[in-house]
Amino acid sequence: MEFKELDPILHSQLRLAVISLLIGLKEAEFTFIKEKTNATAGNLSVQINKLKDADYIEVTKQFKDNYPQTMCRITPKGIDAFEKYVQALQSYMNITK
Amino acid sequence: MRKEEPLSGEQSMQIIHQMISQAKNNYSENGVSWLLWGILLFLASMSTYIFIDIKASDIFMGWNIFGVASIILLLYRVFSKPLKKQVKTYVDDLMKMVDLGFIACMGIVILAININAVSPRAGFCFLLMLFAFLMIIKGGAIRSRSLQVGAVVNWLGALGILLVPEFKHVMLIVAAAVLTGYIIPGILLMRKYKTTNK
Repeated sequence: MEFKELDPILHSQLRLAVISLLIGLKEAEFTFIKEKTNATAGNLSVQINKLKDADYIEVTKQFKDNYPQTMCRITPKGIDAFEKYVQALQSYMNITK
Repeated sequence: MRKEEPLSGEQSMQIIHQMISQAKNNYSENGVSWLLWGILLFLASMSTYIFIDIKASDIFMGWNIFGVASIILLLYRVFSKPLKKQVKTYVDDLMKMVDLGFIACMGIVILAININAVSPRAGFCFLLMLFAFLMIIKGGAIRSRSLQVGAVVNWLGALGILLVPEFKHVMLIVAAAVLTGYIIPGILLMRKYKTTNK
């Protein structure tokens, strides 16, 4: 069986958690992602920037009721990368069984 | 998840499963609108039952008050500041469309009753069918058994309306249907919402 390489951008605990969370949502606020992933704000911010730089997610910063609000949403490229990652993971797990 | 660690295949799968299930249950209802709407409908239908019984001149007065109250509540909902939501789901968008469709259909039925295009009996039968339709969709979306049961009761009520001899019994059926389909699920949803958002 052919072994597909795992996407290094997604093959990280926190980045994978962020993408897996966003895959089922239209968009989510930074604080929501922080709460669900149990990550620190600093670490999450770094990982979100890496996903953004890879064009896997879109990040919108706005003000709501005088408070800054950071919204994240997965891009079509991110969806494609996630699907390929899951396929690669499945083939990897089949090989190691 | 505090620092980066090398991931095994099983760990990756576990993260994916865990996060997807976290995102899955984000559509919720606090039950207030179900309860409020249910009480208004219940009072309106019971008032007509009583007005018919005491042979009042305007038996639909309760429904006129209900109409005004509904418009006020609808305008309040449209123009009030929306609650800050941390997350938007595709289900949220879909439910907005369902609400819009429901309001449009209900408006047409109410208009049809008021211009005598359909009899009040047929109109209330259509309304219960519409209520049931909304309940079954929303009940499915939020996994509320009480709303799904309410939908079945409202469909049975719609059938019952076609069979009862007197119009005042139609109003009793409507009252019972909204009690089962709106008020009881509304109370249960409120309780659940309070428990999960403590």
